[in-house]
Amino acid sequence: MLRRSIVRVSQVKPNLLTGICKPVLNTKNIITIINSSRSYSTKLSNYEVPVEAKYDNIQDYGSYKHNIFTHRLPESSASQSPPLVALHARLNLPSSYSLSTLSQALNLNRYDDGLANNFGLNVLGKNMLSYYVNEWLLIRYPRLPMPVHNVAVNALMGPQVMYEIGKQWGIEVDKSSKLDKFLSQESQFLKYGRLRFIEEESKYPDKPAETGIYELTNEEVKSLDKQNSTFISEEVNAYSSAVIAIIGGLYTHAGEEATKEFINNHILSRKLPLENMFEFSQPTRELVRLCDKLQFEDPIDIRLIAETGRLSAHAIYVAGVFCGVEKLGEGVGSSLAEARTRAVINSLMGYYLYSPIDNEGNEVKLPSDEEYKFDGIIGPGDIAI
Amino acid sequence: MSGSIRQLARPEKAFNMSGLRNGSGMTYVPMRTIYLHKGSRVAGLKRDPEEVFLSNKGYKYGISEDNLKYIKGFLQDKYRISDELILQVLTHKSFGNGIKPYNEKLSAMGAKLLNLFFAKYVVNKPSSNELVINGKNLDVLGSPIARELCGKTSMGVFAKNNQLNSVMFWKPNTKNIGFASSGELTISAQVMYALVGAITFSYGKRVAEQFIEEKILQGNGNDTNSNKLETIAQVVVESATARKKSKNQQRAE
Repeated sequence: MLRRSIVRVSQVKPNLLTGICKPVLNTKNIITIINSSRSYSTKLSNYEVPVEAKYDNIQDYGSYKHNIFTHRLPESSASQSPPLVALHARLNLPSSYSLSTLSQALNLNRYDDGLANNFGLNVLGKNMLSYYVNEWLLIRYPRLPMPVHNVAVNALMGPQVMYEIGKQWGIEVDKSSKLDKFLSQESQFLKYGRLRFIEEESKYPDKPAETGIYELTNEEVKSLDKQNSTFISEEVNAYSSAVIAIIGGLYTHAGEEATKEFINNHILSRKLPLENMFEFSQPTRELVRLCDKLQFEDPIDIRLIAETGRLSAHAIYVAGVFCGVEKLGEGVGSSLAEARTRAVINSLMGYYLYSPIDNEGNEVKLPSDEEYKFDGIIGPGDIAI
Repeated sequence: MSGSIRQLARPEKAFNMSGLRNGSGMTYVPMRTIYLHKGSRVAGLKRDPEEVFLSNKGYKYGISEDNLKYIKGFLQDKYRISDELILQVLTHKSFGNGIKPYNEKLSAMGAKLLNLFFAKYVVNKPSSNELVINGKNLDVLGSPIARELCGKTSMGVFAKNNQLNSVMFWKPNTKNIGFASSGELTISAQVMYALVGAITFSYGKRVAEQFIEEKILQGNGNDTNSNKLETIAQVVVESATARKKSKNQQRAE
């Protein structure tokens, strides 16, 4: 039995990101998400015991073999699983992508009837995804501050988002026990196309579930964020692991170019609300330090550009931030202070959200593109305030 | 307390006030006087850049042959990158309170590419494992050696053995002087990641992978084994395993 600790919190539900990813609005959340992505990177799957492998020679990478006796699902069995064939067709995977690999990507159990699990596929997929997502962000948004960059990575490939994608792909969880399957005369092939992460023994609960109480597993307790009472549930982790493993499987069968295209189509094409990920605590000070770092000669000057009149019913002010004769930003507010702050934030956002374009006005090429030529800029690093 | 007073004038920006006084030809040069403080930090005083922008080993920050020669020698003409970029590769966030361009974004790119490169490198070796998928042995992923190939320790040691970390601009945050305990190992590793990142930015992914293969895996044409990444990673992994074993034995006794 899994050792479980009980946390009694009313309405504990994972705070799922719906539809397009909409990650954070305040610093508290930024910290949460950064933390969760860190713990995620160290955890490769839901194994409590790390996987061990034996090898002939430490540098003979071909000789490594896991210490658990597993086999791959025969292609003939995999092709008889309707959900598996449907998933393959739905994702428009190339015919070279074998159904048995797809089935393996959906298996997280350490030992599931002796079938190989998705550990390796997941590691491979994570490396692929991590490179292409980071490359895209580093080239397209070179000046993002590192905390925002990390949140953006998480918003593109974090567990919650991967879970959403897995759901949209129509992956289902294999919840029923062997006994249930036998009693309902379910075909044995169905489970090969389902997400398998619940161990057989956990499928027979020793006591009925109480309403209002959600029992967290050890892994879930680790991911618990006490401030917002959110956590990454096992199911979210499992979906995320499977989606990433499917990407890894694509590399093994169809190569890197196809994987890159798949990541472009499914991950990088999603809308990323970067402007919502910022929160400034001391914007003016930050701007002054930034101009110092950029070695601007003239001092920063915030000036009033226009106003409706102090005695008008609802006074509106327009403030501008200037550095010498250059105007950096403009802001509108109902008080002088508001207009000033908005102007400063406007100029900071203008700097941070800059995205380079080439001579013809197109987006610059990525290092992994054909005929790459460096057109953009390299982020000089954040400023300390 | 010692310091210096400098007058900052910008004659190139001097403007003629003839608009105010018709044709008088009076020139107004804006001037400000700044006291640059030397020695320990005093709140509110601007410190002298001459003193602040010195590395912990006494190298003066800037583009100079002395600062860049190790990296230039390693890259040679084939992977030449601009001098400004080399300086950014060598500069860590901790230097001068992050006011100079530093290598955080470069190392983010390099670290991800190294992870990807070595994952592909280890799985594509010929294998007799019956669990291979399309000839790729995935069981090696997650093993200590596969992790350590692009790990912090072996990258830091690689940088040291190849003298790439001879000049680095960073600020130690401890009084320790050991290679690992002072944090120099981590900073050296980050310089390595940043170097790979700089090649990726300048020449693209394919050339960067070629660079990893040629310069890092094959050890820069040197025959000495201590310069090769795989040998370093093996030593790191084996010594870590030995340490773990002896600890377990002690515990058992």
